[in-house]
Amino acid sequence: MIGKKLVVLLSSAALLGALAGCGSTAKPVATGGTSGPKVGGTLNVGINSDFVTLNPAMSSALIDRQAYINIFDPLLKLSPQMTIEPDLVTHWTVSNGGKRYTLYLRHGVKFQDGTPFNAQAVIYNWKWEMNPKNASPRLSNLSLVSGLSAPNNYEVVVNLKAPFAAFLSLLTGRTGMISSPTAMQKEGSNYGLHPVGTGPFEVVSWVKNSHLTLKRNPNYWQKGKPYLSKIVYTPITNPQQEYNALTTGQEDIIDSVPYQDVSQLSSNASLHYAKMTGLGYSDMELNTTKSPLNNVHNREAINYAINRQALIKLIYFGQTKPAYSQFPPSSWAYDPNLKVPFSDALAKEQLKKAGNPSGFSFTLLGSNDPVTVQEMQAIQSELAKVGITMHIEPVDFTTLLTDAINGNYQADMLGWSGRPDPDQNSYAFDTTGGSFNDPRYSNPEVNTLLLQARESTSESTRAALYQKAAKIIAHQAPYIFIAYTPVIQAWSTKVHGYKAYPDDLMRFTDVWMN
Amino acid sequence: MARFIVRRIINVIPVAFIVLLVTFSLIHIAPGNPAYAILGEQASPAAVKLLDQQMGLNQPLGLQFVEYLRHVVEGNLGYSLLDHQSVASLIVSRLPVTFELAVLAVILSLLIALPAGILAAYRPNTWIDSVSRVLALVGAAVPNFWLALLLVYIFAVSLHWFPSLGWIPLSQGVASNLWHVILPVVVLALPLVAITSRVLRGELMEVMRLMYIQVARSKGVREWGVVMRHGLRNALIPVVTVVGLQVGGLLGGVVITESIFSLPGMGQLVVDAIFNRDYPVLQGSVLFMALVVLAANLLVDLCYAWIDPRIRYN
Repeated sequence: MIGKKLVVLLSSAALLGALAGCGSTAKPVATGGTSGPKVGGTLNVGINSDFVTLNPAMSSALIDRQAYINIFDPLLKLSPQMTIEPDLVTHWTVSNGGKRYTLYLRHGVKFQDGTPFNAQAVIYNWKWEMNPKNASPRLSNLSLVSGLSAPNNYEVVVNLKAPFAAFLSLLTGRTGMISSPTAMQKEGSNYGLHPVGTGPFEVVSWVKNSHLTLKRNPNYWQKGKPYLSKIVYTPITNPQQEYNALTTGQEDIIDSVPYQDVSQLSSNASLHYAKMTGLGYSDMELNTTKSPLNNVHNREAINYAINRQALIKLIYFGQTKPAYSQFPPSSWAYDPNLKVPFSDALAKEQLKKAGNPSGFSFTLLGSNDPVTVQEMQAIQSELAKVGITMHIEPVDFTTLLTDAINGNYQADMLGWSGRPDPDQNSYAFDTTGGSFNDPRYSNPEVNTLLLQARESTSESTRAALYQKAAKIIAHQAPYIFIAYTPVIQAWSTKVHGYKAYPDDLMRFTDVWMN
Repeated sequence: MARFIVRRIINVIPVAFIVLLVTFSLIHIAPGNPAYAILGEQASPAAVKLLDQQMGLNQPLGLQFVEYLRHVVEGNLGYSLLDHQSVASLIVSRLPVTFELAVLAVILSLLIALPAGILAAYRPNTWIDSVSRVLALVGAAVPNFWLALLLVYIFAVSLHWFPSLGWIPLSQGVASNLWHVILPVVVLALPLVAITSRVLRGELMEVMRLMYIQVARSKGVREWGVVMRHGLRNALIPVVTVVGLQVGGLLGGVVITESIFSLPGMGQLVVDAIFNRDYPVLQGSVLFMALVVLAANLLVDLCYAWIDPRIRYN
C-alpha cells in the first residue's frame, strides 16, 4: 500500500511555488521612533460588507474570511508570496501516487474554549462538512476524500479517490480552519454566532450590521502574540464612506479603497497603503448552450471587440491590469505572452464566420451595483461599434448567482475572487460538468489538460498544462476575462507590523498600535 | 372613544393579512433562492435541493403561506433562514436604532418646521418667507443619499465635527450616542421640514382669513397672540396628518440612511433580508413596519380630538 513518497517537509514551493511579480506597491513604512511591538490597543477595521456567518464550515461569503483568518489558524498558511507554509500542520507527506496526505499536527495547541486541538478535532470538522445533511459549502472541496483516519492524536491521514495537487492549498482556506468540536456540539445551529477556533483572537460579540469585536486569545500557541488587545470590525457598505472613515480616524485600516481615491493616498502623510494584483478577476460568462453565444465565432467577436485598457482606465482608474486568463500575474501559472488583441476588424471577421456579419443581440445579466452597471454600459457601447447589441439587465447578487448556476442566462458578469492554486481558478470552471462551469463549456482537450495538471506534482509541468488550457479558453471564449482584481488596502500610520497579502485577507497576529 | 380604538384595531387584521400576502408573493416571485445565498458559488443542484427541503421551501407556495400565517397568529414570526435567530429577537435588537432615528428626526423637523411655517405665514412674502420657501424646496428636492454624503464630506471629512458613520447605543453614553446620530437625523428630518413647514404656512394663512380671527383681533388680542392661540391650533390638524403620513416615508428613508451611515437598524435588516432572500426576516420586518404605520395613523386620529375638542369619535 505504501506508495512512492513524493514530497516531504516544509518547503512548500514545490506545491504552490513562489510568486513572481506580485506587483505590490506600498509607501515605505516609517520605522524611526518605534521601538518594537507594544502590547495593547484596539484596532478599528473597516470592511466593505457585513459578515454572513462566523462558522467557516457554513460560509460562502468572501468577506467572512476576513474574520476567520484572525479567529482560526488554518492548518497551513500562505506567505505574502502565496507559497504554502506550516501552521497548525507542521509538516506533511504525500504518498500513494499523490492520493494519500499525512498531516502532522502541532502539539500543545488549544482551542479558545480550552479543549485540545488534535487529529480527532480535524476529522470531526471534516466529517461534519462531508455530511450532505449539513449542506456545508465545504462539501465540494472534500468530495475527493475517500477516507480519514487518525493513527494518533497528532496525525491525520487523508486518502483521496484521485491525486489532487491543490489539496494543500485548500488547507490554507476555510477547509483548513478547524472549529472546536465541543463548541460546535454545544452551540448547534447557533455556532455561526459563537465560533471557537485556535487563532490569535477570540470572539467577544457580534452585532450584525454594526460591529464584530474580537479580543486577544491569552492562550495563543505563539507565545507573546498577538499584541493587540481588541479588534473591532465595522461593515461599511458604501466605498466612499469606508474611505472617509479611514481619513477621519474612525477606522485604523480598511480592506478596500475606491479606485478614484488611490492616487490621493501617496500624498496623505498619515496613511500607508499597499496595492497589488489579487488572485481573482472580473469577467463575462457566455452561456455556450444558448443561442447566439453557442456559436464560438460570436463569442470570439465579443472577445476581440472589448477594449480592456479603456475599461480599466474608466472603471478601475488604471489601478489594475487587463485579464486574458484565469491565472493572474500573482500566479505561477500566469502566461505573460497570452493576449487577446482589441480589434474591431477581427471581431467583424468572426461575425462573418458566424454567419451574421451585421451582428447579433444578447442580454447580459450583472450585479446592480453602480460600478458593475457602469462597466456593463461601457462594454455595451464597445460592442455596438461592431454591430453587436447587448441588452443590460442589472439584478441583485442572489438572482445573478441563481441564474448563473442554473444556466438561466445568455451572458453574465460574475467574476471570481481567486484562490492561490491555479486548479482552484480553473478546474471547476472549465471542465465538463464542473461545479463553477456556468457557461456549460465542454472541451475534451481542456478536460484532459486540467486533469493532468491536477494530478501532476511538478510545478513546471502543471504550469505548462495550465498555460496550454488557458490558450484554448482564450480562443473559444466561454469567458471573456476583463481585468485582474487589484488588492488595495490602506491603514493609519499608527498601525505597525501590518503586511498586505494578494488574497486580500488582513492578518493581525503581528500588528501593534502606537 | 374606546369603541373607536377597538374598531381601528380590528381593522388592522385585514391590513396585516394583505401586507403579509403581498410581501410573501413579491419575495417569492422575485428570482433567486435562499439556498444560493447560503451556499454561494458552491451551490450544487443536490445541495440546493437538500437545503430547500430542510427549509421547507420545496412545499407548494400556498401551503407555505398558510403555515407561515398560522405561526404569525400564534405569535411566532419564525426564524432567519441564514442564522436561525428568531425574527422577533432580530426586530427587537434593531428597533432602538430605527426608533431613535425616526423620533429624533420628527422632533428636529418640528423644531424647525413649526417656527419656519408660523413665521412664513405671519410675515408672508418677506425674506423670512423666502428663506423658508428655499429651505422647503431644497428639502423636498434633494435625495437623501446625496444629502448624506454631502453632510459627511462637510461635517465629518472636512471639519471633523461629527463621525462619518457608526452607532453607539444610548446605554454607552447619551452624548456619544447623539454625536453619532446627528448627521443621519438631519438627513431624515430635512424632507419632513420641507413638507411640514409648507403645509403649516398654507393652512395658517387660510385660518388667519377666517371670521373668528377677525373677532379676536377686534377684541384687542395682539397679533402674535392671535396667531399662536387662535390660528395655530386650528391649522395643526393638516400638519398632524402630514406628519403621520410621513412615518411611512420616514421608514423608507431609514433604509438608505442606515446603509450609508452603517447603522444597525431595521432598514439594514430589511435590505439584508431582501438580498439574502431571508423570507421570514423580510416578512416579519415588513409586517412590523406596517403595524408601526397603522399605529401612527391611529395616533394621528386620536390627536385630532385632542387638538380640536369638537371632534368626537362615536
